[in-house]
Amino acid sequence: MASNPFDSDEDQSAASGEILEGFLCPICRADLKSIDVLTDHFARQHAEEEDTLKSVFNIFVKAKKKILNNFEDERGAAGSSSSTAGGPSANSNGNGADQRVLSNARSRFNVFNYMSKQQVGAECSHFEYFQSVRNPRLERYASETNKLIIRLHRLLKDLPSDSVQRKQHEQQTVAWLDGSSVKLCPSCAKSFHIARRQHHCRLCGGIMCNDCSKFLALENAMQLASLSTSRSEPLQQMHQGDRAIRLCEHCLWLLDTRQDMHESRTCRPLLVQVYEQIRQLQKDVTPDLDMYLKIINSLHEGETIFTITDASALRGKIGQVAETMDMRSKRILAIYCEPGSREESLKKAIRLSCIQAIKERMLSLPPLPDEALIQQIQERKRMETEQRILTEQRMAMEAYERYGLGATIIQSGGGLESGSFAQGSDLQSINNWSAPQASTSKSGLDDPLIEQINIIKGYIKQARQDMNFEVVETLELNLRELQREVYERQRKSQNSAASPEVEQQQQNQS
Amino acid sequence: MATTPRSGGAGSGTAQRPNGTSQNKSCQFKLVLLGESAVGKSSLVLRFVKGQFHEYQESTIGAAFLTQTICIEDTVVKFEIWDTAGQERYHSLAPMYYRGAQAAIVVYDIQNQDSFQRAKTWVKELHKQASPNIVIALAGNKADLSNIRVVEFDEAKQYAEENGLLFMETSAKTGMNVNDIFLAIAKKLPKNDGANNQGGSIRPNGNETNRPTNNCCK
Repeated sequence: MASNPFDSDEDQSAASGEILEGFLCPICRADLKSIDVLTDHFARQHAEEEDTLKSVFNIFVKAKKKILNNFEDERGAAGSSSSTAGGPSANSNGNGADQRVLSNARSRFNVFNYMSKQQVGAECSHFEYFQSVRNPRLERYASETNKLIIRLHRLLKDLPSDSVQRKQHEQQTVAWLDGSSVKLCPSCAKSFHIARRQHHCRLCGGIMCNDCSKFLALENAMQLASLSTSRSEPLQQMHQGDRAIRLCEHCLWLLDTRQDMHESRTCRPLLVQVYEQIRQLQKDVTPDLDMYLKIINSLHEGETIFTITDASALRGKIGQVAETMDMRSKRILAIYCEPGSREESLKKAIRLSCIQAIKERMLSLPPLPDEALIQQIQERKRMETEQRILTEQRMAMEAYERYGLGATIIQSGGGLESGSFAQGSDLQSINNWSAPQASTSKSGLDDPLIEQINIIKGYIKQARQDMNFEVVETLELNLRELQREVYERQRKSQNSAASPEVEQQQQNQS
Repeated sequence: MATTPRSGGAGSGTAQRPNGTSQNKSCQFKLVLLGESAVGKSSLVLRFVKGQFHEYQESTIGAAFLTQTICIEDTVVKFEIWDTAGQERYHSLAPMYYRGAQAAIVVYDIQNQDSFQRAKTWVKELHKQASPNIVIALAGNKADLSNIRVVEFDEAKQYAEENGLLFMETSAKTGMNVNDIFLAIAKKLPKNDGANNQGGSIRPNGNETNRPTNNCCK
């Protein structure tokens, strides 16, 4: 025996015979079941067995633990259970509770360790599951409610006013539960007796006591069953107490919920209504703004399509819209809501955007041009036109001179005449076409062109009144064309009247 | 001779010598095995302690504790062997086990270069954190598969010499050099103060000095 170097003559049978394995404490060799418990146990129990360097490290670890102790412990249960699993060593210390807390801290510390290392794991949307759970529920409620509505419809369709007949009708529509075995009210659990009688829900036939019954007014019921109240005139004569349907709480709740849903779908809050008004105003005023700018430009250009009164009228209209918008947005702000809620901030945002829109779009419009200035511009323009026409005529004359000889004088006379007419027509359009009418009277009132012109003038007047300036513009342009046409025709007829004379003269001369 | 089942019939090294009656000295050493997982730490210990070898040795959980007593010259040497788990998640436990250990065997697999590198980091860690006069042995295990080796003997030998390590290539399967490496360690360990160290090796004499410090802090 002794000759064997591997001789184990000592009393180490347990140690050398058995192989211990697990989370063994290196000092007391207790199996502590988990890394956390083991490290904690080691730090706690055998702290004094470490050298100074280690103890410094340990202080650091302890401090860390203390900090971590303040965190919410998610793994508290797990940590404490594992600490009790490593019981013998933990309890041997005497301060088991303290031990447990620290082991929690340690396990938590490890959790955080892993957390920092961990990547974002697999993600899974539970929306489908949610739907799969929710849809059957919704369906159940919907079908249940539908059933009730159908029953209600049948019940109310020809409800007899006589109470006995009515009861019969009700029982025919919905089978009432047999109440003979029902001793207690299902909802309040009070016993039925002479004073507390059984009642039936008219929609499900369920039993309840009078206190637990709910009543649905016939008018509401009619609405729910989408029956017109007029069809049930006889119901109006019913006794006040009979003008309701007895329901159980559940049925009434289902009907109420349906109505609430319906209302929430159809009703629009005041805020939305007012806001939509504002939007509409804003939308409507946009073309007006553009038109106003166009009018002002046109006036500054010296054009005669629009008048300065048009501009001021339109400006007045825009001002009114701006005022209305301002008022509406103030109205929105005045609607009550929870302070600090999102609704409040929404309202403020609406108000702000309104103010901004008014400021930027409406108040920034160019002011009305001075009437005298416009007249000046127009005068200048007219002069320019006259000048142009004159030069044109002179050019034409010169060309003619180079061409022919005899007809020049007469031609130039006619040219001058027509020139004066042209400037007249330009002037007259400002005064709403008075002179041409006079001149056309010569050529006859039944000229369809003149008639057309008169009609258009009427339209323009109307459009001005309605402040439909776009129409005014097109009509004015139309009118111009007609006037030109008339003018051309007049000139032609004059020319044709002049040309025979010329011919005659020429013939005479020859 | 090798009669007890525990002592294992494996070829005992030539260094062992029957010393019979003259065992006047006895000492106890804490020895820890370190190395990457699946290099054969547990097999090595099992071969040394029980003379057994399991082809499908299960992975160690936490750590395993075994003892083996050998007689060397006139001294009874008792090894308290801490076979640590090599898996990375148990790494944090290792300092606990090599703390206060007088000897360590860092094991690598000669077919696995990574395990050799891991062994090097273990050696470094031991030099840094373990007790300064720890005896470290480097064991290139699975020497029976030397035909498909990756880590050359000379390379490992050179590294061991540079770092002052005992070095052997071992095979837990065949038992080659298993007892020898433990014996070599036992020889290298200072046995004169072994008796004094019996408890002290585990409890360094900082016992008294630490107490007041702790009280202070509390």
